Amino acid sequence: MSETLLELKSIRKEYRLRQPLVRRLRGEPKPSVVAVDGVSLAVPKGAVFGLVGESGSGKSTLAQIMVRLIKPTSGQLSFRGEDVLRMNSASLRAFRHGVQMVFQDTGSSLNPRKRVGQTVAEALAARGATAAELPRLLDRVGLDVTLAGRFPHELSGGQRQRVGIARALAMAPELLVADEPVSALDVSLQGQIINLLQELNAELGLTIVLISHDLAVVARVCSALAVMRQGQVVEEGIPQQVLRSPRHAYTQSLLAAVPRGLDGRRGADRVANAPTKE
Amino acid sequence: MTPLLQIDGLHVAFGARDRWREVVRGVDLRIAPGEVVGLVGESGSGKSLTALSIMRLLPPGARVSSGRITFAGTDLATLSNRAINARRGGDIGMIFQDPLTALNPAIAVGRQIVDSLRTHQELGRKAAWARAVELLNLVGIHRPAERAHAYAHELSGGMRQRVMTALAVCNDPKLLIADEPTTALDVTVQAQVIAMLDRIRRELGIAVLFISHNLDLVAGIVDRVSVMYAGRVVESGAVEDVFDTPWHPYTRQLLRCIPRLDGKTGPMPTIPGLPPRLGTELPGCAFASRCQVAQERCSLEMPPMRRKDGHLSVCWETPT
Repeated sequence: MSETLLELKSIRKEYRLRQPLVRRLRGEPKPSVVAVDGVSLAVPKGAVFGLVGESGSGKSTLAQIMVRLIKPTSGQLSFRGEDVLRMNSASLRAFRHGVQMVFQDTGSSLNPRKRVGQTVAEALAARGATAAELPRLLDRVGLDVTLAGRFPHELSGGQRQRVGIARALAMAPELLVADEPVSALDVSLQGQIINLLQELNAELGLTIVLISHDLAVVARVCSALAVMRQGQVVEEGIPQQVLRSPRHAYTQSLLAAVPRGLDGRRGADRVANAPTKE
Repeated sequence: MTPLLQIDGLHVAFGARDRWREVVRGVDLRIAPGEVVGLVGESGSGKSLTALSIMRLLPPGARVSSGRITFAGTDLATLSNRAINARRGGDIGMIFQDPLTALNPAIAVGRQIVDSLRTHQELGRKAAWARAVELLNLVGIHRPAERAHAYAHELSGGMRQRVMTALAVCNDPKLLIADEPTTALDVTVQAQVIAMLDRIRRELGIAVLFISHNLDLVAGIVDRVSVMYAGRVVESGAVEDVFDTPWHPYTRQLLRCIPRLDGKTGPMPTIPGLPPRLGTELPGCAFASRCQVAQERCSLEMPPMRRKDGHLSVCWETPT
């Protein structure tokens, strides 16, 4: 299990901001925003790796770098030991098949004018598989085959997310990057999707990077986790350890902010003292 | 004590002409002055429609088909448009999930508070501006005099929700309706906004109807809670009773589903299946198909309401 599938070394992503001509002529430094600031991570093969952080922490940018939807400004990214950033088009194509992504908002990541069966079948065709695999694939993600003829808007949020997962699985990937896959779902349905991801990990040996702002979910299902803040990884480790003795103040404030039901009511002062972000 | 807000047998239906589908099916709710009541349910359970009915802000195509909503002794349905407008933002304040669409993007936030103040109260411009700055300070915005000139897009999500709160309480309402006020926020910001709401309503003595899908969050600030499923209140009672001894199987299963930092690993507890499609007519309990303790009669006959000491549940199972 110690074999590394995906490795990031000092990954940095800067976004240049627009600069007025006058300032450029004056030779002022170009303004930029650093979204990811020197992140190094190793995702072991077969792991469920959790990436936790709040909005603006750079976790989604990092996810898109992992699947090479965007190119980092500097740093190294390797998949199975191969340098992803210097691949020729043929090996990049193979990489894109091996690495798939699941998005938070199924309302915008599924084509609203295509029946969901067609959406998944197209992914199968892209791999060169026949549509005959479709029923088995839908069944694998817990979707009734009769739903294949439906449009995304005719499905519930949980069912749409299953379609998104089926589409990713159609490529027979080795790595699945799931960016906030359950944060738009009701509590009663979140577990169903998280459990599905766990099953895929256990049964197919699929390596999963699970990105979430919900520490409780990540802690429950991940074998390793990293906490991000302002583009940097501030804490890394095994979930149980991080929960029991968080070393970074930011992780502590994240833990303190999780609603605790009646327990929270009985110790409400702790929340009021949480460090502010604003 | 006479309730500030009393909802009796509220039914809301969607549709047109002769095809109406009920999505809220007989909701009863009472809020005493100064009390904080939680309304909890999944999306589609009818909790937001219940809240919108109070303010007569139902979306086009939806209507209250029966039931009564009384606020401070007045039947809200009988009020003229002018009178209900005076209530909105006056006696009843409201905070929505998405402050970016609720705030006007083209008017500075301080000015929006001034506008609301001057709509409901006799106040000069200067006095109103001073009051707006005071309110922004009350909701915990640093350098309020400066920030009053800011536009909504220049503020963070948490700050926007603080501005929304200032706007909602600026005319000393008796009731504040907060519909998923922190759902779009990060957990640390959520905790701060909740603490702020709790402080404000104590300081001003406002009753609050707090709507959320997150039971754990609700438990932190409400006195009583009502749990909705498929358009009905299935359980309600003091928050301690509902959490410590939930009677309804839906509440029990929902409480188990909430991800907690309890050190457990492995599969998460779930509620199998899906809620019934909106507007489906069922002869029995709507939760029967997903219920772990359902018997045959559950899906055939509507269960009775059982109550004891203000704790009630709508289920065939006898609470112990």
